[in-house]
Amino acid sequence: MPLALSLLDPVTLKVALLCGLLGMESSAALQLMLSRPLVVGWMVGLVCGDARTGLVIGSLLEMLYGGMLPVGAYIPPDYHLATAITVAGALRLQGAPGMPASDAVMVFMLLCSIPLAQAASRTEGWARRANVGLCHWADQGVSQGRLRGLRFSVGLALALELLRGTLLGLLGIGVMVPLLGRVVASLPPQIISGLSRMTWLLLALGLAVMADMFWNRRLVTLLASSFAIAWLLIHLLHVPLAAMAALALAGSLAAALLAKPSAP
Amino acid sequence: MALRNRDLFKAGMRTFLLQAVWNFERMQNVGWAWSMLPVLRRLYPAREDLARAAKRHMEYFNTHPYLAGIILGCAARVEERAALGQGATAAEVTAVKMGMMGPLAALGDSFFWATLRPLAALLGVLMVFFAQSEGGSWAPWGVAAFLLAFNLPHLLVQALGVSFGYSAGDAIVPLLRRVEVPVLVHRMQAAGLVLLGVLLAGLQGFHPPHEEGAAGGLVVAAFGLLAFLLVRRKVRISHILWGALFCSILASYIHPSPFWGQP
Repeated sequence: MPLALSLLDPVTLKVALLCGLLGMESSAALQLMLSRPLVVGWMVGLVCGDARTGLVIGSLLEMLYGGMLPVGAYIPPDYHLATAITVAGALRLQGAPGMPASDAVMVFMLLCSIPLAQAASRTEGWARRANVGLCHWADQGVSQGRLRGLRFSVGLALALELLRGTLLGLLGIGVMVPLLGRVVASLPPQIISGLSRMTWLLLALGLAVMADMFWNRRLVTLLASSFAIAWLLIHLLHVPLAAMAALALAGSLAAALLAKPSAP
Repeated sequence: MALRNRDLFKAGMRTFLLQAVWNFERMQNVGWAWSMLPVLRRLYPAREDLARAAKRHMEYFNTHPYLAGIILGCAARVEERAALGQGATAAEVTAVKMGMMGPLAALGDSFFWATLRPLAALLGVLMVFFAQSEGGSWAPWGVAAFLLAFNLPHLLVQALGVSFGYSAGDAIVPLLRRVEVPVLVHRMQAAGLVLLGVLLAGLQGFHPPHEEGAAGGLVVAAFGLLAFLLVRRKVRISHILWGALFCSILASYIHPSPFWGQP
């Protein structure tokens, strides 16, 4: 698809607007976690017509970005943009003429989205520097008794955030996805094979990140016993996985209530 | 004039936009001053007094956004006493704010960001992968579970924070000291490890589309273990990722017939 058409495509525009709204939600407003990869993957998947694939990609990215915490002045990578690019790219390019297997395309988009997300987070730094000007302007207004300046500053900062996110989404989905599509279509088969193999390594890495987040040497027996019991229930007693999810929730609640930290 | 519940509610709702004008100089100060406005308007009907009070709140402010309501309630209580001439001073309002924002930021970061969010995410991911193994029809419940597990405590804290801070007033510091963060984190870790154990057991039945025999599973498991050890040693995830990609592509050149994964 020519670049101009790709930019004006309704799906591109919808995903770009979604990126704008989620960019605002991620830090400036609400923070209800709607901008986490798991949720974004599902939403972008819905817009692009395949919510299930979007959810799987979102889950993968949720685990990989799980350890990045927005503590203090640290600006984490723009993970909602990374998820939107990966999901939209994987779904829009799958089955296109000359494209390799869909898992290779997904991994390629995911890997390319990482530096893009880091670059996008720099623009958040610029926005925060621009907010210094808004802060001074509001401060001056307050000194002169113009308190409406506060409301105006908040509204303007939110509008700028929406604009920033939408433009980044437009750039990511409308420009980067078609360009990356051309690159992945021209890769040699060995690299495509390597990308396909990465799918499961990504899942393993995601699990390693999650394990690191909860790791506590004194609770290893809990991990081992929950694994053993779940394995028996799933593979020997063939308990349905929906029931296993409910049991896992109950088990984790019980563990949280019963766990008692002992003296180190 | 004394504060009404309506004023505190309005101020509490505004804390949802606390970080709207986050800036590198005074961080959340604009959002904070804007959140305090309904309280200040009630306490200082005279324009000059109101402007002076608002100016005080334009100073540096930074805390965890979910716990800002507690500080707001507490500051509103002290501000009310100062406005009504009940023994508090404007300097005390600033002191309360400054004294509470650091400890509450640390509490919020360790509880909400570092523990509750990964736990809720793990629950959501578990449900998505398990649903995917059974055809995927109930996979969106994973998203719902994630949002509910995280936002129920979050919204509860944010909804009750202002009134809690207002009722406790100065006595809030000893109350907050009673919150045992390490115990909370320990309990969340236990819950997380149970979920992780179940997820690992369930993933054994989640076969990759091109999986070929046990060799592939062994390679993936060995990589997972290695990745875990590297993450524990604070190696950056992106470095592990690029290293895995390099090895994966190299393996494809050396061994075109894959252990796992059909190109």
